[in-house]
Amino acid sequence: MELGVIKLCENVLTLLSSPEALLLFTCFIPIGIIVGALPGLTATMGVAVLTGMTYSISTGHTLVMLMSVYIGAIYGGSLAAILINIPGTGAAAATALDGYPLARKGEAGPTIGLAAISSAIGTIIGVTALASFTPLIAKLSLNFTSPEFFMLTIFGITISGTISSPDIPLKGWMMGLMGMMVSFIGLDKIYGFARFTYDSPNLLGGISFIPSMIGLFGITQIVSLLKEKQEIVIDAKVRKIIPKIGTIFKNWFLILRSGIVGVCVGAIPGAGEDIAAFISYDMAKRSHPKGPDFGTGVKEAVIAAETANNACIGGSIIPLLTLGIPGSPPSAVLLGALLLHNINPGPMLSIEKPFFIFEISATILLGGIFLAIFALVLAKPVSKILKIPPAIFMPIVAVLCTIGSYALNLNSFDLLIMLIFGIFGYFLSEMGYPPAPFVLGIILGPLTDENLRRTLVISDGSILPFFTRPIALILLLAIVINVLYQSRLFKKKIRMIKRKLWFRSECSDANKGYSKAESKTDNND
Amino acid sequence: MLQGKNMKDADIGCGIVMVCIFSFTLYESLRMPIGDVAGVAIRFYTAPGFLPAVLSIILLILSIALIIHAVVKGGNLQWLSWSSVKALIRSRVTYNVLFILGLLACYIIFLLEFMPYWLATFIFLVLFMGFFRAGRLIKISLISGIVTAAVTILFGYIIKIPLP
Repeated sequence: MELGVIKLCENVLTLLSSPEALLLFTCFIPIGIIVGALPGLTATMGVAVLTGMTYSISTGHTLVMLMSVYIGAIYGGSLAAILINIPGTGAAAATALDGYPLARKGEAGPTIGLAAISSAIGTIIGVTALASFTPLIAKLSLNFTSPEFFMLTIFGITISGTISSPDIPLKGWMMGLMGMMVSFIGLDKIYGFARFTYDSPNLLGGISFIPSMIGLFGITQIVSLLKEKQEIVIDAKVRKIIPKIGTIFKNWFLILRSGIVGVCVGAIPGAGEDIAAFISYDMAKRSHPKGPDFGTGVKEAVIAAETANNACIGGSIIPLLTLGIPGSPPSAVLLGALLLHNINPGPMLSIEKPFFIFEISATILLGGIFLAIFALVLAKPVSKILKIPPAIFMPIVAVLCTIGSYALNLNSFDLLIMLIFGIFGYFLSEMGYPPAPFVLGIILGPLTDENLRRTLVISDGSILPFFTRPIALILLLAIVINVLYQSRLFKKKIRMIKRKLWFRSECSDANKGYSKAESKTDNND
Repeated sequence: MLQGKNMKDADIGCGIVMVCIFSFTLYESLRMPIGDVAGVAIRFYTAPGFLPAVLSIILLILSIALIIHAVVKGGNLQWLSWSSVKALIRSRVTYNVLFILGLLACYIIFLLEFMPYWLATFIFLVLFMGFFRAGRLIKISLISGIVTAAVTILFGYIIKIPLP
């Protein structure tokens, strides 16, 4: 623990003493804020487009650039949410519910300031959890072998599908499995057989991850935003950004709880910042004295949502580094960036690069601090940028997407991949299919295939290891419960059992009361 | 995103398409090597087509379940009628979507292949912004020119990232 703290401080000081790192924070945190603020641009897209351009940049600087954009974008979405009631990113959707009413009441400035401070604190809570728990989980992950990894990947797909598509989990699961199918395109790792390539040399290496992500998130957003002409009107004036510090101190418990919620949701594979924000908002609504007024312009609602969505950043990196399974779509793209720089997230990372966790933690910690400064300074200028019509900035975004897709492999085929996934992503998103499980499926597909086949080879075709190894069995039960719980029949049975148990305990309480009353009357007699 | 009954109708259509796709992937997976191949014994559970086949079957089942769910909730295939398809094709939204995707395809497949990057990008931006009436032609051309120059110089010469 002490060594961890020392390493963290060492990395922070290294970054602070590096002019290049400070310059990168200064440039990319604002870029992240602008990416997040502009409706149609997302953190995932920002990180994906930038990743392709970092192949010739050092790992440390790449981390600073990507994490700055990630942190900035997650906060940046709240600007558009508060000023124009259109969340800049999905993570700010919960912020819009109370942020916009507050802006209509003339409190746009202090609300933006509150969102900025909450986001910075959330980032710091997330990184504290990351630095504290990752070494412990890394030790646990060394017990994971092929059966456990196989079960974990299936669990990740099912839970991601359930959370991303709560109305019809079928669609989430289908997207996850389709992502896996896409990942099978190319040479099979065990026999070198070309699967689904149809003699195309471009497909032998599989589908490039970054261009497919840019297509799925970038092109889809461009089409979705422009298909119906939307006028952006900002009627709130941004004045007095600095919020009352007393509001922050008064709500310390809310901030802490929202941070913990953000970290926990972030650690769930494929869940993401938008889900963290909504869960935190919902919890605050149920428990806070001002809960019934949520939705009419309550500051505590903004605090709950913004703290959680930024805390989710640190939380989503925990499974990424320890198990190689990303906790959110932007961290999935981050995985691609790390692999590009020869860093292999997973259980072996704690052995190959034991202090990498603290390098990334230091980057996020400083990112959170810079966010607090830039968010307050840039609130007014970014609110002016929001007035740029989508018809002007979306074509520019399309050009940046093509550069981001091409830069990685210098292959025009990647541009075609970007376009195909853009078309695919747009039509599926119109029909309510969530993209997050698909991203997870593409990443986890090779892991699933390899670990399943390895387990069966070692056990000579027997599936017993999935039932006899404790961690694998626990994960299997979790998968089964998660899938069954989506069935109405199963939920009905659970409710019936709960009612019977509650009724029985009421009866037994009533009987106890009756027998007490009886004994009293006996005594009186 | 589609809402209500439109979503249910789309689920049926999408489900049918998925049944076709996953039937095809199942067929392809079963064609992959298994047994004795060039002296190497490939058992079914280590075969390259094993997991793709399993996933194809699961996806087929889920697609059928989706179709059934949509039918039970009131979806149907009436949207396939000529009048509905005509209305869909003629809608402004469809027109915009097809234009964006078509222009992107032209940019990637033709413009970048046969023209210098700066010219292809300039034409792309002018057409894109012009279609969505981002302003007068002079304003659009000026913005497109500045963006093209900035992108070409920043990425091509300063950061030295090869451009398409």
